[in-house]
Amino acid sequence: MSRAYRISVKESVARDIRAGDEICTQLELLGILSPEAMGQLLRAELGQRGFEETDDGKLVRQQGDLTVTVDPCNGEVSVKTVAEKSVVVEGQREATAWDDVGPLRKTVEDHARELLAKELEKKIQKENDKLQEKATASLEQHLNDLQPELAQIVNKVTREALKEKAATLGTITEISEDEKSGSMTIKIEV
Amino acid sequence: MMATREVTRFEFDLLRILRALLGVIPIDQVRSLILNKRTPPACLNPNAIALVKDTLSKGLILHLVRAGGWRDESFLHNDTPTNGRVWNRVPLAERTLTFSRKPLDFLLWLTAEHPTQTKVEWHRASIESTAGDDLFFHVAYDALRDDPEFFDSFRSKSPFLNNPFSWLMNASDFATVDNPAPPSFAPLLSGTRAMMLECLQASLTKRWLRSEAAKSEIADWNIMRRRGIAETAILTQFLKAAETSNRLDLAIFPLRVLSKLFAGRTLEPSFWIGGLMAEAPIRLAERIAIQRSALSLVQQSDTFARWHQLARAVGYFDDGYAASQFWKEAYEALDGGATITHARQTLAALDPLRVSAGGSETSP
Repeated sequence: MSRAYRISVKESVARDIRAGDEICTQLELLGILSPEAMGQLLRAELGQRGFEETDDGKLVRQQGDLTVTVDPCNGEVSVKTVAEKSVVVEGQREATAWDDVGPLRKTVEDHARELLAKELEKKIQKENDKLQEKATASLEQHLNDLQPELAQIVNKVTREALKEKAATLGTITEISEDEKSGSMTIKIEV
Repeated sequence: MMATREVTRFEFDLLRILRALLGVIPIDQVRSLILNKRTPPACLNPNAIALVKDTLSKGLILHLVRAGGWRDESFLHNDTPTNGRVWNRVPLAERTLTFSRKPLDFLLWLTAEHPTQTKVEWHRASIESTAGDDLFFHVAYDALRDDPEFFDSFRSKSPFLNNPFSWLMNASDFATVDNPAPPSFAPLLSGTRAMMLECLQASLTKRWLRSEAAKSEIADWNIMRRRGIAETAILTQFLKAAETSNRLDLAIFPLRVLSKLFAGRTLEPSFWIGGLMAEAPIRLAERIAIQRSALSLVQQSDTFARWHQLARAVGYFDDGYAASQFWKEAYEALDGGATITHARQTLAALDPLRVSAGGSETSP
C-alpha cells in the first residue's frame, strides 16, 4: 500500500534592486551673445546655485536621490532620480509524493522548488515596481520645484546677456529691473 | 458596342471579385465567393483574360481619377511646376499602367482558395512588381481591410506588407510590432508611381486627418506607443525620400493635414492623447515618450520649417529656383509659418519642464 508524503521546500532570495526615472528638456536661451558667451553666463549662474562642473564640461547638482545635469553648450537638461533597496523575500511550498526517497521524491521536490522560485521572482518584481513608483513619484515631486528654478536661471542669464550686449553698444547710464514682472530697462548713451 | 464574351462560372466569380476589389460593387456582395473554396481551372480562356485586363486597367485609372487626378493642380515635373489635370500635366508614357502576372495570380488564388484558412501561397517573389501591380494591391488591400477576418490574414502577406502605398495610406494597420520596417518610399517619387502619388494627395490628406482625429479614442498606452513608432518611421522615411528625390511637392499632404488640424489655433496635446486611460507605464520617461510619439505628425513640423528655410535661401540664378518658389507658394498658401508655430507650442506643452527665455509656463 502506498503512503503519501508531504514534501516541504523553503527558499529565501536576497537581492539589491535599483529603479530610476529620467526626463530631459532643453533650455531655450535667446542668442543675444555668441553661444560660447551664453554658455559661460549659464555656467556662472549654475555655479552660484550649487552645480559642480564635471570632466566632460557638464554641470551637475546632486540633492538626495535627485541628480540634475545641465550641458551649458547646448542647454540640455537631464533630471534623474535613482532609488536602491536590498530586499529579502522568503517563501515556502508544499507538495505530495508517494515515496519519501528515490527519483519520484526528487522530481516532486525539484518541481516544487521551481514553482517557489517563480513565486519569489514575482515578489521581487512587485518590490521592483514599488521602488519604481517611488522613484517616479520623487521625480514628479522634484519637477514642481525645479521648473520655477530653471525659469529663474534662464531669466537671469538673459538679463546678464542683455547687460553685456548693451555695454558693447554704448555706455550704460541706467538699469532698472522689476523683479515681479521680470522686466528690465537699460538706458545707454551712444 | 462590345460583343458579349462567354466565360465559365469560375471566371465569372473571379471577375466579380475583381470588380469588388476595385470598388465597382460592394465587397460584401462577393464575401461568400471569396470564402468559397473551389478547384481552379488549368487555365483561363482568352475571353476572361481580356476582361480581367480591361477591368483592371479601367478600374484603376478610374480610381486614380476619382482620388484626385481630376483636380486642376500643380506638381513638379523636371523641377518645373506643371499645372492641369493629371492627363494634361503627365506625359502618356508616365501614366500608362502595366501589370505583371501577380494580380492575376492573386485573383485566381482568391477565387479558388479560402484566403484565411489555406496554406497555398500565390505570391511569386521572383517577379518584380510594376507600378500597376503596386496600385492594384493597395486598392485590393483597401477594399479587404474593412473586414476583420480578411484584415488579419492579408496584412501580413508580402505584396501588402511591402506596398509603400498601403503603408502611407494605412499607417496604423502596420503598427503591430515594436520595430516596424516600412518599405522603401523612393520608388514612389519617380515615374508612374509619382503620378499615382500626385493623384492620391487628397486621399492621403483625408486619411491622415481622420487618423489624427481618431487618436483621442485610443485608451491603451501600448497601442499608442506602437502607433506612434510606426507613424514616425513612415513619415521620417517618406519625407527623407522626398527630399532626396527633390519631390517636396509630393510630400505636401502632411503639411496640409497640419494646416487643417491647427487652423490658426494651438491645440492641446489632449486632442491626441486625451483618451489614454489607466495602466500607464510607471516610469514618467516612458509616459512622456509615448505622449510625444502620439504626436508623430506634429513632430514633422521641424522638417517643413527646415525645407522652407532652404527654399528661401535659393537665389534666382541658383539650381532649383522654380522648385523652391513652388514650395514657398504652397507653404504660404497653407499658412505654414503659423501652423509650424502652433505645432511647436503644442509639442512644448508636452514638456513638463518647459522653460524658454520668454518665461515659464505651467506644466500640462
